[in-house]
Amino acid sequence: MKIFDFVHNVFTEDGVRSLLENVENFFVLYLAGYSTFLFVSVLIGSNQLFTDIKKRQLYNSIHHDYYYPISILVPAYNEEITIVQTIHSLMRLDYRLYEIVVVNDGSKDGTEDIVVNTFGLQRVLRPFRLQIPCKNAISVYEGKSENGVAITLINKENGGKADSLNMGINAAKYPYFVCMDADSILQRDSLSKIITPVLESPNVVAVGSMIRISNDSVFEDGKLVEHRLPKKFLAAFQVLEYERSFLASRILLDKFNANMIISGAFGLFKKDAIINVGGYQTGSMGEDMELIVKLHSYYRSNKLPYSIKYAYDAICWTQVPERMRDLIKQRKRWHIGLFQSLSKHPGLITSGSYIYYLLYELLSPFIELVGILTTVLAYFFDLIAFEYMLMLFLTYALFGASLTIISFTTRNYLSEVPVKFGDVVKAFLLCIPENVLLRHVFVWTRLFSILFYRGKKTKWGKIKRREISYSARN
Amino acid sequence: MTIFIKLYLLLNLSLVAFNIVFLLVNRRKRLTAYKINKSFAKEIRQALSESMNDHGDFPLSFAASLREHLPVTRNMLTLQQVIEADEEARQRFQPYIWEQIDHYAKKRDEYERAYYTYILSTFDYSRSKPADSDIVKLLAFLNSNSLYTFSNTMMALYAIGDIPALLRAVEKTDERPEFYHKKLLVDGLLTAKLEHAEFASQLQKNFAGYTPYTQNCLIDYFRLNGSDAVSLCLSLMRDPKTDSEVRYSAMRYFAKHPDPEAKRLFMEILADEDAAWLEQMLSIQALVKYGDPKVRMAIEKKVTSRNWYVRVNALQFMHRNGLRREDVLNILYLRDRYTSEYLLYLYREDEEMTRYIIDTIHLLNVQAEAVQESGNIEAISAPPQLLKVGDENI
Repeated sequence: MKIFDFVHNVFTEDGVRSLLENVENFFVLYLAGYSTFLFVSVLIGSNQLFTDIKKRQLYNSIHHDYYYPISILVPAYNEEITIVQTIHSLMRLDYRLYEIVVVNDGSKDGTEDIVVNTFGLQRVLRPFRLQIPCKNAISVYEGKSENGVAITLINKENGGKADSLNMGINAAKYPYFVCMDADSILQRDSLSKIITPVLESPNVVAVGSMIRISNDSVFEDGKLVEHRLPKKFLAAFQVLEYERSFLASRILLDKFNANMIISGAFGLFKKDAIINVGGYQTGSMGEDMELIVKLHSYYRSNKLPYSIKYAYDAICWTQVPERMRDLIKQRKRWHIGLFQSLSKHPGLITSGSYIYYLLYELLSPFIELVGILTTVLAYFFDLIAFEYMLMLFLTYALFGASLTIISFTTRNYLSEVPVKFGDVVKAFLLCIPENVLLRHVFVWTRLFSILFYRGKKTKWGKIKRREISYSARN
Repeated sequence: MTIFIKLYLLLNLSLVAFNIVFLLVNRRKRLTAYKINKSFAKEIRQALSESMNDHGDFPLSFAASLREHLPVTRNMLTLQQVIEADEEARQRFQPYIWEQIDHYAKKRDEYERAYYTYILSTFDYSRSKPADSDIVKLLAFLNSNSLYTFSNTMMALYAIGDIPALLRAVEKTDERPEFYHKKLLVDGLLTAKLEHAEFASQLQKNFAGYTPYTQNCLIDYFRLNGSDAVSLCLSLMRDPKTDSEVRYSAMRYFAKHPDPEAKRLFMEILADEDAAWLEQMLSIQALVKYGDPKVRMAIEKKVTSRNWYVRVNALQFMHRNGLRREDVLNILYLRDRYTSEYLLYLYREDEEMTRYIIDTIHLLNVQAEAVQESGNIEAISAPPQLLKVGDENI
């Protein structure tokens, strides 16, 4: 009880009571605000999904054979395990005209050799117009797949993911480019889906996509045939988390042109727009988010019309970490990326989305921790009864769990390949631990990532990969 | 404080309950609204399998049933599903579907209106066109704010290929405050089943009345379709008041359809040092089809342009028209890294030339270093003939 003696010595009891009461009130209001946001988001998100079903049934879509040609940029660093499968899957996309540009960022493994040998690429002396600064190219290889898709491999000096993407933008031949991770797989119709917003709305500069988790799901010829909740708990938790965040924020924010995140795993960009803002920020830990925040900042400050859309039927399958240390590493990187992006563009503070990301993403671990501590202290100062304190935490956890289940079942019920009943039961069982355990792991991870942030630059965030067959049942 | 917590609990519980009820209601409503009508599907299959009467029409009782069912979108979807793969059957049902145009035009649900126009766009109208009065009714769908209704109606009009209707449709596109992508209009017009020469000539008559955005689209259509728009494009190029994007489109037109007068205008642009880089680049691209010495000389000068696109296009032109070693040497002597690298790229399949270029670049670098070391900077600008030694070394 030393801590309480200390508190008693420093503050008067009345003062502490008043302070705790105010902090507690703020915390409850904060939670109420977040719950309301989640509620509205899930409501609007699910309504949008139902509307989309109606639109699909009634052929309310753009029916067009000729879209814009697209350059697919695949930055790779030590990706010899997954790169060939990724390129093979990209070669089979249902799209009329596109090119694949693999940027090998000075890999130390056999990434270069395996790509050159597997696809029979020839070395060429190709010049690039460096519209965005990036590290030098060492060698360039070109070739074509059997179905005529142009493949370019650029080996460059190591400079990080952002630098590799900048090199890819310089080398891209087409007006729109897609960036993706070397371990991700695009669904066959994903390019036509992700470019559609460009034909539907004016001034589209970027389009986000739906990232889904491929761990343990079954693919045939690059197409999902069986959607499974991963066997490993950690990956399964992340499925629930991804589905919730999709339904609970992406769709609502999209309606207000307020999305500040387009995943680096799959996003479409207008090349000119990205060149205008100077490309990806090298040295940033969240280069994908930084780019979107930069786009918002640039277009708003110059009062130029723009829109950043979200194509939730453009699906990219990606692997998530199956080991806790990889997951923590990934989340640390994401949170520092968020911190870097928001702190670099404070001019956006007047926008609702900035405030949302600031309060409910960046500062949430601090607020949550202070809130929990205050609630516990409030109990010791007899400001709240034990049962209320317990009920508050339980309700918070149950509310989160309910929204997780609503998001998971809605999303999967409306999917073309729904999950099995057993997986729904599993999701019910996992939603409480996901909200209680994993959430708190993330709170601490994010908290420490900011507290111990020293501005150190990280080039590539690596997680342990495993080979996944996307061409046959596994 | 406890009152806050109680309120919070209450709020959360009601939010979750509302979410669940909302989802259940929506699921029931949305997922059953357009479910296939099995009895109607059976009726259609039966009617198709039975023999037709002397006029090829359906029996009166079935025709009456169709008129009764088709105003309901769910039944229209059922019909579409049953006859989708059978082109003959689709042709037979076409008039019955068109009969519903008044009904669907009045529908409040914009998605259903868009669906109806989609159905109309799927028919092959080369065999039987709808009545003029129906086409006029179809044009009214273009007043919709919905992109899908608009876009599907346009698709139906492209498929019907009625010139006066399409001219009106282009006007409506021009007047439309909502967005309709350039690509959808241009590609749509290109696929329209009509007499394109006549249509293009009608469009050109009304050309001045369109906004620059539509004018831009139409020139692209003329260019890609091969329509004769030479005099229109020349006048657009000559008129200083022409919108810049329209002017660029007119210039692109001549890249595909060469014309002597246009060539003269392009040469003027190349001779003008202050001309915008985009105009210079488009001029070079348009002059690709003229290989005469004057054109070559004008473009050769652009190899040193400060603009990368102009430089690269000039180099491409020179390469396409056959570069001699002296020309290559002259270009390399510019000591412009991008230009030299691009030259290498152009000759990527010619081993001998690649070696020549690499050796010459090396020799030039060695000489430049030697000159710099000796302090005689002026020697760098010595005539390229001095460097022909590199040529002998190959």
